[in-house]
Amino acid sequence: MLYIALRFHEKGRYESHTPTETASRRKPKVSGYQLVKPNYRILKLLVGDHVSDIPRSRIVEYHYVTVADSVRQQGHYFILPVIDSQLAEIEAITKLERQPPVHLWRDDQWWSFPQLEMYNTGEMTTMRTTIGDLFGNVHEVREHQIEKTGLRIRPTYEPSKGPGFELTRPTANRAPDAPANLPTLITGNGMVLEWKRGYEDKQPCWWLRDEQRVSKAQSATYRHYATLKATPHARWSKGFAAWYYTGGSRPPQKWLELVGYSGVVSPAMPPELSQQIEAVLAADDAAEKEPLIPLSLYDTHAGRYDWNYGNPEVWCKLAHDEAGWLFFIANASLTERSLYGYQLTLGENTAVGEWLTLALDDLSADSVQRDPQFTRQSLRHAIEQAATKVKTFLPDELGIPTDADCRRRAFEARHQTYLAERERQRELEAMMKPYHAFQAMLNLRQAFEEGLHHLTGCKALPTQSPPPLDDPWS
Amino acid sequence: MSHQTSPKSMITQTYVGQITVVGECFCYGCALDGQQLVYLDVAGPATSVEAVWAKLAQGKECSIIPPEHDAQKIILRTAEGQLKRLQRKVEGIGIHHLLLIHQDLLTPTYAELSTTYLFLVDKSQTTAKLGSHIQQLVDIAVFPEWYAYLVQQGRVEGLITPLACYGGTSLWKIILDKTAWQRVICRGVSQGHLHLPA
Repeated sequence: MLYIALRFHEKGRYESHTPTETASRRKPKVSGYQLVKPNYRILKLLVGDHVSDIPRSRIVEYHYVTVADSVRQQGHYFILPVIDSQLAEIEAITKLERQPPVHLWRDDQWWSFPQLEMYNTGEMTTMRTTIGDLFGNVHEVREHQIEKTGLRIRPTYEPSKGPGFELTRPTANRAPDAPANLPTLITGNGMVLEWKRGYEDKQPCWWLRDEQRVSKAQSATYRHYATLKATPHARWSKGFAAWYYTGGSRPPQKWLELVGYSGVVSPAMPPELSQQIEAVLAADDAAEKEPLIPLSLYDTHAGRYDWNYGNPEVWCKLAHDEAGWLFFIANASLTERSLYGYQLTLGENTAVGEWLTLALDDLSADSVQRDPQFTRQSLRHAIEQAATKVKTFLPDELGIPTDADCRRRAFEARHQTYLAERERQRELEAMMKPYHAFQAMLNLRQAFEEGLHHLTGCKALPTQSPPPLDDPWS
Repeated sequence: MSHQTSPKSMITQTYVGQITVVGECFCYGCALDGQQLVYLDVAGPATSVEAVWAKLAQGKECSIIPPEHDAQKIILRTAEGQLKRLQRKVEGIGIHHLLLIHQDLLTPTYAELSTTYLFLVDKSQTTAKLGSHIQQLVDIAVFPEWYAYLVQQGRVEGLITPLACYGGTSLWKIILDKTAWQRVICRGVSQGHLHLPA
């Protein structure tokens, strides 16, 4: 039997525009469902007899319907039986939608219908981002290459998560299947621990409540509040005045102890049998081989490789006994199954080193050993360590610079860029010098003109000749 | 000795502009010594006039807006406690008349180097007033015949300078420098410009 799950958007009471006989201007409210268009069409198609529209104006994104009670619901979905011949018609509807909220239950799993989907066309296009300010100055222009996307019809059914619940056969009201070897109702210490089915689509769970509804001071469950509160997956339901446990079909051991349930004594395993089992498990553990480079090493050093002027840090040392080389790993790729590092081949009185990539599969674990004591260090340091042990070569022969040398080189490189920048600035200054001189001249001239204007704008100074004696105030 | 009284002469009052602090009031004369307000003649509603006084007394500045369109406004500033306030109500029209006058003009200090100011309304009266200031200032005898010479030489020496005046008034600044004035007198006597009365 095939079922489809059809999501409705909302369940509620909606105003209807049907004319009424009453003189009231208030619009009558009808309880019903809000559906998106494709779902409405599918619903009409499948159970058209049980569906009637609520006439509504203005809102066109959704359709509003009332549905007869006989139509099965679970969560926010209508669960409707379908037959194969109807599927083609439903597909015709869903093929015009992107991710329509319709799912098909077939072979004990959910499937999404054929539908529109986005895909990468493989064609590249350039996206340009301009970063500027309010005044129209452009500071930076970035260009990205992005792949064009297209829309196409996916003609197949794909497995999907569906509405998020498994579809089971609609069950009549019957006691939920309680966990085995536990009674569904345990009473003791003034408390009741009960296995009860949930409302509607809720899962059944264990409830712990007082035997009688009593005040908080007399409550047995409140006496053990701290214990109950500390239980994971346990919550207090205010409405039911009880604790409930959603962690599994078996109640926590603490709760069983609280109600004084000792349980049935399970038959003990004979000691010989348990020993035998343990021995087998130990043998299994031993047979499981330790990988050459444990995953934890990859994880801690992933993406930390940098070249660092010829002296990168290496974090793993492999030694090949027969070929007589040491391999210091600087970088490892798990996807390509390759190791990049420095191979140091030790001869009688010589040592040769080179950078190379080894395939992880080529290394047979028997001949190659990892040095478990090796910690992350610079390559030069690692080679010096090897040289002190072997005493047949000097590390300077290999041309690997020392750490100080590397630091010096890094500093020199930085210094070169700094000098180049300085030189560039100096050139710019030299180039701009006539301009600045001209500006200074211009400023000087302006200041002079202002001064001159001020001077000429002043009134003539009074003469310093003495005023006449007969009219000294004139 | 008969007490001779000269006729009182009026200080000229001409409209300078309006001052707006609280409401409007009108300025009919003003004199500034540099930045310091020496004389201000304002009439208007009581609140407006007192607001001008209050603002100046707090050391804040206010300005006279001349009626001419392109004229610059006259900014009034004063140090605190420098101005004497004389206010009276003009009966019948409900207007208050406020005079602000510098304390140095009213109570000159002779004991130290200071300044005082003179209204130039009647020239002979002003000359006599200057003479009396100098009589009080110096330790030597000063005769009324010398006054004109003192005014002339004071102006040459820069001891008497006119103030920036608005509205038809004319005020002068006198520097009460005892040694400078004594020097002027001694020089006049020695050069024969001043004669002792017979």
